[in-house]
Amino acid sequence: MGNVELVAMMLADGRLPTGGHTQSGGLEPAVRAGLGADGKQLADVASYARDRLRTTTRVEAAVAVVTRHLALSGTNVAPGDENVPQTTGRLDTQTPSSPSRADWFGPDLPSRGLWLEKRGFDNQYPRLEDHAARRGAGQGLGDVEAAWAARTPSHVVRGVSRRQGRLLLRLARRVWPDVTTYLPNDGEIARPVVLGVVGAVTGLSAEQVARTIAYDDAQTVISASLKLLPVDPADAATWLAGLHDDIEWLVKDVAPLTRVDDIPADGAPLIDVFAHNHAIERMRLFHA
Amino acid sequence: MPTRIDVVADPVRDRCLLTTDHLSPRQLPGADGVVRVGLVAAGALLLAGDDVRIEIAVSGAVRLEIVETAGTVAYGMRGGTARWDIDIRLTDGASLQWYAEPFVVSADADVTRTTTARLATGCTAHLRESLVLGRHGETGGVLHTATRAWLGENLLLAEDLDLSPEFRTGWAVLGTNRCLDTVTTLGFRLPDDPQTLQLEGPGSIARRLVHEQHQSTLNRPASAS
Repeated sequence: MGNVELVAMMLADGRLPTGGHTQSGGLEPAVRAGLGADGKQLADVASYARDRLRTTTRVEAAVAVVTRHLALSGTNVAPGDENVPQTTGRLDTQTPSSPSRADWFGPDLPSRGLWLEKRGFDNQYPRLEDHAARRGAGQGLGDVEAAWAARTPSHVVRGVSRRQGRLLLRLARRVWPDVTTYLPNDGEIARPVVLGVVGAVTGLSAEQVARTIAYDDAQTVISASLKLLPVDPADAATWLAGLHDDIEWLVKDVAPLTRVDDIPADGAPLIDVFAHNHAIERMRLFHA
Repeated sequence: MPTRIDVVADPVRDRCLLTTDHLSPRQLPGADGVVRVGLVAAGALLLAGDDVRIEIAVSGAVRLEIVETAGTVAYGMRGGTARWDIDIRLTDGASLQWYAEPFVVSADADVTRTTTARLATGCTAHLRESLVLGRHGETGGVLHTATRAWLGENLLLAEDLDLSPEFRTGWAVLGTNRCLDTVTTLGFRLPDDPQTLQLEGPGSIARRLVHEQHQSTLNRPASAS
């Protein structure tokens, strides 16, 4: 195994081909709503990143930390035959499995797959819970993703994370094939869950996993500000450096977590509102 | 002792047991299959040291509608704190509709407000929570909310909000808005709308962030959920 510091640096590097450049961490719709309007109060960008670290990013980091812990404790996750990495280029043809969702919806309600299909949300690709169900895994990574989903009330925000998770997974199964011990070859899986598994198989500590999530989110917001607002790049880097204490507070806060139920549930209503505005915006620079 | 509303469906007459504490529940006339209960403050609310607990248990094929006659104001607490805890349990196909009146957190108030809902599969809840930070012209005090909802064994929604003045005013939580008006459905979804959050499981959140509570467009549902 290589040097874990280098793995952490790779994961935090915006040049890693996982589509990080398409993300503004919700800054674009916030700017559209008036953040930094007329080039004034540009430092609100840093405050916005700090608010995220205290709320939604804290939840994401905790999800990644608990995922890493569960993968390493390995009690309920084991390799399955279907996880042999595919060597063919095209993965999209993998058929979505459709296990019964009766446990979730009850017998009288349509399966969520049907729901979502009709609603045109998503679910084109297998989800982690399907994977877990196929293996008969109980308390496992599917539970972490369910905990994340309950703490992420917006389908738009979940969809963004799952698309990002899919991009990271497709890269990770080539770079760190051991991830397929825990995750399907392809699928829309919450990004912090994928990142937690990458952390587990590459030997990252819980602190490194949490720090990667926190730094990545802050840097996503700050660097997007350079494209959205008249920001001096040196100011942007100064803002990021000014967030180091907040990032380390988050790391200390979530790194000890090991139980799904202990994952914090901090919400940020305005982030959800902005995400929904952005989802129907016709002219946008960033995906989210 | 908690304020408690206990409703059990019965083929002859639905049974309704009401327990008064900080709030006094009173039964109102209702249609067949619907139990309507008015919730009235039994004394001055909400003051430092108040520990308001409201328990609602509905069982069987009956619908409980809770009606409030007035909003609630949490007054300045001079360093003290107050709690407002709601516990909802629905079983055997029960449903609940509770369109709460505004909950106003005055300057210098410090309130923790929790909502815990446990629904058996097949039950539904339709809840409105209208939080107002400060009376007109004042900066509201501290409010922490925690919401947890289960449908069967599955956690459907978990959301904690830190609405203290130093955290809520940024571009992530409330911004400059004074009022967070939320309609939450559990066990069924609201119709799709660009601003409606669809939960992972069957449930939705419709939310309006506004300066004045009456600007919110979340109106009372016309009829049964």
